[in-house]
Amino acid sequence: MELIDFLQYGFVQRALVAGTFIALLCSTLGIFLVLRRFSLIGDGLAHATFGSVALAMLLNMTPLYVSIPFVMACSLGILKLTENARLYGDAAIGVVSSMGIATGIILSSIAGGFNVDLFSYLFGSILSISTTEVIISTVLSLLVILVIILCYHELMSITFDAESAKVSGINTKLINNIFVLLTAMTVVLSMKVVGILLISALFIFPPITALQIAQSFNMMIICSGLSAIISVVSGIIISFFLDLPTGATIVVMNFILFTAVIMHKKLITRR
Amino acid sequence: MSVNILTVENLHFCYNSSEVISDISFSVSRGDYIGLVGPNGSGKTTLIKIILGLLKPYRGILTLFGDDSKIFSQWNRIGYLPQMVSSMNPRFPATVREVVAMGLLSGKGFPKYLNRADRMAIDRALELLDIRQLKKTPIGELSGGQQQRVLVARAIVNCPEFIILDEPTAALDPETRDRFFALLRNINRERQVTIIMVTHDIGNIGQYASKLLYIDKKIIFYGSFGDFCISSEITQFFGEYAQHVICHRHNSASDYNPLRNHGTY
Repeated sequence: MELIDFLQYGFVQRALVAGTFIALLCSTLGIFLVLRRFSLIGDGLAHATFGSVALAMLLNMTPLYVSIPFVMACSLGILKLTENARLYGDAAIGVVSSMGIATGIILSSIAGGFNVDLFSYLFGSILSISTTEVIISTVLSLLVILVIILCYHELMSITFDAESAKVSGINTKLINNIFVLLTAMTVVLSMKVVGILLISALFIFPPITALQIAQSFNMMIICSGLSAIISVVSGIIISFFLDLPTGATIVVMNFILFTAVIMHKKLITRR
Repeated sequence: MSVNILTVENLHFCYNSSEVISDISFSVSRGDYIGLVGPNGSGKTTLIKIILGLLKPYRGILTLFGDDSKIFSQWNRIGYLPQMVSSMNPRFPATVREVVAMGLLSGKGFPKYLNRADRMAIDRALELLDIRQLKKTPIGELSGGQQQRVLVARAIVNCPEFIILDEPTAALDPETRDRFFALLRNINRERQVTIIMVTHDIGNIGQYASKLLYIDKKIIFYGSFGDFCISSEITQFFGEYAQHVICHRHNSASDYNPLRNHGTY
């Protein structure tokens, strides 16, 4: 089959549109998460998503509608644990993450065990994404990107030096709340792309790839976005032609791109 | 008539049950250059964090520019240089210009964006710190001294009336440190900018500061360096020999003028 023929399939077009938007979203939020050493929040919230998907299936509801409020509440929970219970970020993420998995296992057990749908959320199934899901993903992605653009200077300043940002009058508490809520929403939107188990890769790989080459913060955002889009698009195409799982292929493409950039940088340094 | 910038009255602060700041009262007027000194754990950083609104006092009154600190909102009038060069993430992918631009955010509404006047203000601050040629360089590629200048540029880019610095010279070599002290003295004298600098280097700050505030949970001394050298409280606190050594360093160094020696700024 030719690439042109492949691109004419409706399910491929839907996967490419949703994948591109979500890649852009994860790569931008990931920059702030990686630089604040908070990148594993993606993993923690993904595990919480597992619990919410199991709950949605038990209640026979659309997972997206249950997961978005549930995971948003979990993201605020992580923030409150770090602020009020004086836990380190990784410990707070660990608490929510393990509780998410435990809840998911108990609920799926009550529902009579794991079913095919739950597995599709665990490992991703972007090629089976529906038109409604594409529309929801696109609209929410645009909304999150708009909020990031509006709060760009505040986010950058807090990421660089939270204390000075607070002294300069930035409401760091509000911005942090907005930021974790956006992250929660993005995690939920991403679960169909690479699956709950691999979501953190979308947040981590593009920023760390961009970090190798970017000479400014603006450049970092552009490089991270490009890296994410290349990985998602190439991952979808390659997985189809080689008959591989799409989510895992996207993650491997991210890794290949990251390794290639590091090797390229090493070669340039040697010269 | 002197204009009051900061007033602290009967300030107390506790971490859990241990009192870190005990009944501190002092005031700072426009154009003062205060060296805030004291041993480790004496409450210097805690005091400036309370002044900056980062910590809430347990008891006491604090006013900034005449407003109670609880309702103070004109943060664009204050510049802050944290003790961070040594702990700064060297991989943070921002250019010098992007970092200095962060200092302009306090005067802006929502959404924040930079205009032509802001870009000119950034250039002026970089010019003043003699680092304009570095404006497109990633901050992680600079030396400790250059990074410190970038952070000073960020603190002054908004033309604040009051600058607070927390151990700004800790990561600097002696020559850069002297240039840094001289730069601050110029900003203080020429622009009447009020400065509070936390430092362990009493001998050096004595050359430049108009007053020393020595604390050890409570105020031990507040006055000029000359008075510090003859203060009986300080003799009692340090011992005669240590007091003599500090003051002797000050006297022998007072002829040295880094501005004359380097000719920049």
